[in-house]
Amino acid sequence: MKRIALKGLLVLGGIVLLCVFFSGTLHTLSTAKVRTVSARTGRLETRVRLTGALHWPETEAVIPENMTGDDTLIVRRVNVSAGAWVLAGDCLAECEVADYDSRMAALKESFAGKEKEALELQWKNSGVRLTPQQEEWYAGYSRLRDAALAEQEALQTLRLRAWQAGVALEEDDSVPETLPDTEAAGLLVEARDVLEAARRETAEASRAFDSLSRYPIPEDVVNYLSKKSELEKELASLSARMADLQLLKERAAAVTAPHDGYVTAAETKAGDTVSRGGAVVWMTAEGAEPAVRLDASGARRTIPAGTAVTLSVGGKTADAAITGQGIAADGSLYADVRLRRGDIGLLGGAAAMTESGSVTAEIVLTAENATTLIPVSALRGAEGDYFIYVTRRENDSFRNEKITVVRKSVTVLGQSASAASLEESLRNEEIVYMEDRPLSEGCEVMPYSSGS
Amino acid sequence: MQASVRRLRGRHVPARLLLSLIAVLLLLPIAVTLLYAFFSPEEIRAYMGTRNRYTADSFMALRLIPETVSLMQFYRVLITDREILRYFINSVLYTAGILAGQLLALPALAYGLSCFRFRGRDALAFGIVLLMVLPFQVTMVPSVLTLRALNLLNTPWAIVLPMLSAPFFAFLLRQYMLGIPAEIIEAAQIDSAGPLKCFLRIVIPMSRPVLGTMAALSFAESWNLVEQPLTYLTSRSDLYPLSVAFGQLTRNMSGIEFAGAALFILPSLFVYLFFQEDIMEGIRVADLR
Repeated sequence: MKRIALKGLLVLGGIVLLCVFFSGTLHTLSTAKVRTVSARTGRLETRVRLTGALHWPETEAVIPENMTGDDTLIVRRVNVSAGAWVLAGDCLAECEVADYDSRMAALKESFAGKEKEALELQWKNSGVRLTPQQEEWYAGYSRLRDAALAEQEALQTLRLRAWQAGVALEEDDSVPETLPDTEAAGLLVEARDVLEAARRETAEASRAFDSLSRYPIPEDVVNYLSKKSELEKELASLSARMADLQLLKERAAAVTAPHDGYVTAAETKAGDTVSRGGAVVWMTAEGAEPAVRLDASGARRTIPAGTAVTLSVGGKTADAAITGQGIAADGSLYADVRLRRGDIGLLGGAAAMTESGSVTAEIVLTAENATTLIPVSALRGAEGDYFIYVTRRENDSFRNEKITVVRKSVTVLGQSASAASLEESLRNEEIVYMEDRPLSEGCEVMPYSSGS
Repeated sequence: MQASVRRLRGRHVPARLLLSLIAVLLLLPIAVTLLYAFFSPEEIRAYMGTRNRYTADSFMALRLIPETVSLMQFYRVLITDREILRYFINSVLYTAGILAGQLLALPALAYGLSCFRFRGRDALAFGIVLLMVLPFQVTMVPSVLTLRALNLLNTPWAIVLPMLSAPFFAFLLRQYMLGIPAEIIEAAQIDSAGPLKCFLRIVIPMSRPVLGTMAALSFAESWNLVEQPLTYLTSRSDLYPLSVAFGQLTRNMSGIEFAGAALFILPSLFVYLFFQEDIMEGIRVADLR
């Protein structure tokens, strides 16, 4: 029995000594390590990340002037790409007129035919001699005829403009006094003015012709003169068309920028055809500034104009500000950021932005009121049942500090990626925001050591 | 004797039943303590939380089987909550100091009062008996004043030094040594053995039973000190032995009290087992004398 008792005492003593020796180490290993922070008062900043793309508010088609509906260009070379900055007069593309040779040949052939017809007519009526009065009568007759034709054309245009504006004309084709404030109504007013001018011209021509009616000329002479006038007009028209075609050819050979600006789209390539209504390239309207249009649907709150935003494209950043917000055709919310040339340069240029296709924007939204802020990692639980762990310090009889955690329910007012805004005031509380293992209420913890 | 024991086995059944019942009642607290030491701390807290909810008509349920057998109490006592361990060390140090001091001083005192004749010996012995009768509360105030004068209050020596003068053990040893035959000592003296040699070579070996008894009883007394630490260590709670600190620790009901109690019981148990034969021998020899 003495041996058993002695062995028991020795074993107990050994266990106690080992525990005394290793308890500190084991206690450190088995105790959760935490980092704590004091709550601070401030305004919650929420960082919102949006994406968008370069947006050109006003663009215009670049195409040679004086193209008619029959003209078609064949693109030979495009010298710019989307996003390029061009100056007025820069050659944007090189084109040629489709079927230029055949069309010019046709026109020349028509011209030659009409010219020959005119010569024949003149030869047939070479004996016709007009007195000055008869020439004057014919001039009056031509003027009256042209004024009547112009009045008819103006009347047709007036009726067309009235229909486009949705306005009903009076019985005498007069325009009502009250008109809607639209662009079509403005065109209607212009057409009315043109008709009135044409009518005045007709009236004057008629009065002038009336005074010349005492100088009649034979009908065959009238026919000759009418035919001759008609041929002269056709020859003039053919000549003008040939000149226009020639001019179009020269202009199409080097399509230049009408003013300084950015090329917004250069989708045509060699071999493509462009007709009237299309565009060789698109560029910004004169004086227009590009913008970045951001998809603000994910922001879940309005972003007021003037809010600072940091744009980034491929690692390059630039600071700007929101200039406006709106709703797109599909109902999504967007926010626009007008860019200055310096901003575009910082972001690598419009070409790089267009090629990238995507612009990232980071916006810092600040709350209106100051509240208690804690790191978001300190917030635990789920919506409606959020809580945090705060520490409680106690000293035992040996003046050893023992730190335990206590659960404390909180009300969350808002949350960002890094901070949470709480309703409660947590002054003088040490809040646990990082731990190396799960915590439970009342468990002992110890602060992270600095390792030094 | 074996025959008489065999005859006893068949008789005195009621007496044996009664004694068994008393033994169970006496051992039940210890058994429950050791059993509850293997409950989990959470289970103990929940169970002990019901201790004030019983009425005169119903008793508090006694749980003997844990939901899960757990060593977490011992783990917390020995590793994490090191307060109990530190108080345990305090108890060990006090007990060891008191035991060592008493074993050095008291046998020599008893030897002098028993084996030597001098004027005032009996008066001195009577004084020791008188001190034995006085309770601690009577000598508490003079002790405090003395310790304060010596600047020993709130130090471990305030516990150890007053306990070295144990009148009961001195009396016990003296009475035992009075029974040692004088002829043995005279024979040693004839062989030119001096008083110290007689003490170390004859009296101490012959007094082993009573010394074992004294060590066991002294251990039990020192291990269970309560009043002296509360009186002499008023401002140094970190020097309390486990017997005093245990009461304060159990107030918080942290769930590890039973493991701490088991740890407290074990040294007493082992010491008793070690000195059990000496205690019985000492009682027997005293009876025969």
